[in-house]
Amino acid sequence: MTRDGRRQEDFVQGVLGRTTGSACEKACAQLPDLADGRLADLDRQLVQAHLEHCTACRAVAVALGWLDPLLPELAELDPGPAFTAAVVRRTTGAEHSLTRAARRGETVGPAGLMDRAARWWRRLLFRPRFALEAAYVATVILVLLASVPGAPLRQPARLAGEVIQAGPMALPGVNRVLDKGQDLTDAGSSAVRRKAQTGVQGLQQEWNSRRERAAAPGGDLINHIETAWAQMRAAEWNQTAYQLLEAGRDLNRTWSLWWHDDTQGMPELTGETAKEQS
Amino acid sequence: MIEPGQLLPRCRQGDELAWEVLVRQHQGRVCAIAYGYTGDQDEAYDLAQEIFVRVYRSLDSCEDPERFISWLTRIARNACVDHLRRLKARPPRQDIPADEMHNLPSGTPDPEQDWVRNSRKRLVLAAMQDLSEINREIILLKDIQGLPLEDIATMLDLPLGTIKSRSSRARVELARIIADRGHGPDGSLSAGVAS
Repeated sequence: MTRDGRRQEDFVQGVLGRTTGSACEKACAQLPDLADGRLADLDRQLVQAHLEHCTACRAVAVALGWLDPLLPELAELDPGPAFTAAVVRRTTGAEHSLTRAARRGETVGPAGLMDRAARWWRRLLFRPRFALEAAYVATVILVLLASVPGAPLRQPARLAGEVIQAGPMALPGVNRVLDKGQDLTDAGSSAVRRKAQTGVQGLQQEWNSRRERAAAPGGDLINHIETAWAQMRAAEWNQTAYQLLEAGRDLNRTWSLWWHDDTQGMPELTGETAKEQS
Repeated sequence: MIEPGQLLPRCRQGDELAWEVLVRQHQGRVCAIAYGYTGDQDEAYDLAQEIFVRVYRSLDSCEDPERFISWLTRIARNACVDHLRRLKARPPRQDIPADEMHNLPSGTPDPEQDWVRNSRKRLVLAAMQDLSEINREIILLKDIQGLPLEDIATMLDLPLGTIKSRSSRARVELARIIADRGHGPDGSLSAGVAS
């Protein structure tokens, strides 16, 4: 632009600045219509006249000119040959086989629901985090079983709490052992040996007695846990829940029978009677 | 090209071959839409896979195969919006590196023209990330994907008149950004932009 031309342009911009403001906004707003040939003859001449003098609007007009044919070419982006395989694997592969099976009508209704639950369980099981999650769930269940009023493990937990508060003297048999120890210090060596033997035998008898009276529900407990595990692996959820419930009851009975000295108030439960009661 | 009307029933029956063909035919479009929203190639490819998983799960909901493209675009758009919402941010405002976007489709056999054209495409894609969200969506759906204005209005939940008026303004805004980023008035690209 020559010096005279620049002076004229500055003059025009000065006048516009003090009157209507810059014409660039209006010119740019009409550029799409100009490109599409939709402007009336006079408007087209006005916009073209503006473009002759305004480099900024001319740059926008030129960009618009090549944008129109270029934009549709951006409708597709080649993701490479591995993309299709990845999508097919994610949709029709193992991860979404349930949907595919459902579409094929292979498993519908309650049977299909059980199948899908079993597959879901298998996918859940064979993950590295499963052990951590299982431990967490087991802890929560144990806390609930031992803390909620009426829960099967609440009684042993309460007794354990009492023992912790009262100290080791509250444990049955501890006093007897201490008495015998006292005898050992008081008596002579031969008498000491005899009393020691008697004391050890007493402890053994005590232990055997407790083990025997808790043996039946203990055996039931192991059976129920093993059965529950087997049912869980077979995705038989109702049976699993039932067996776990039974295992909880067995644990309660085992603990009660082992703990209490006086077994008169505690019925001798076997697996059969336990089932009858349940 | 096999029509969606022929492919969809087979896909619904679980035909892997039909599904693979459907994916091949439309993966370019879905990737371009995802890229238009995210502005990042790797992110766009991951998102495009998610979109196809959604499409597969929703095959039964495509009632009119004649309008398959609109249906597909709507799912893609919803997935992209969800993705961006999860990120809780607008797409990253960053220039596209010169070595990225190497998969832009080429339309001319002349290497020089090809280079200029690809440079302009990169420039446009980078400039789109500076558009306002609504203008970017309108450019993407109308000018790039060529969807009918009625479908775009439904998709964006805006009146048809608003879409029409916005469309022109969006193109001007894009052209203005391109001009500001290094496009000379004679149509040439500055070296800094084309790199």
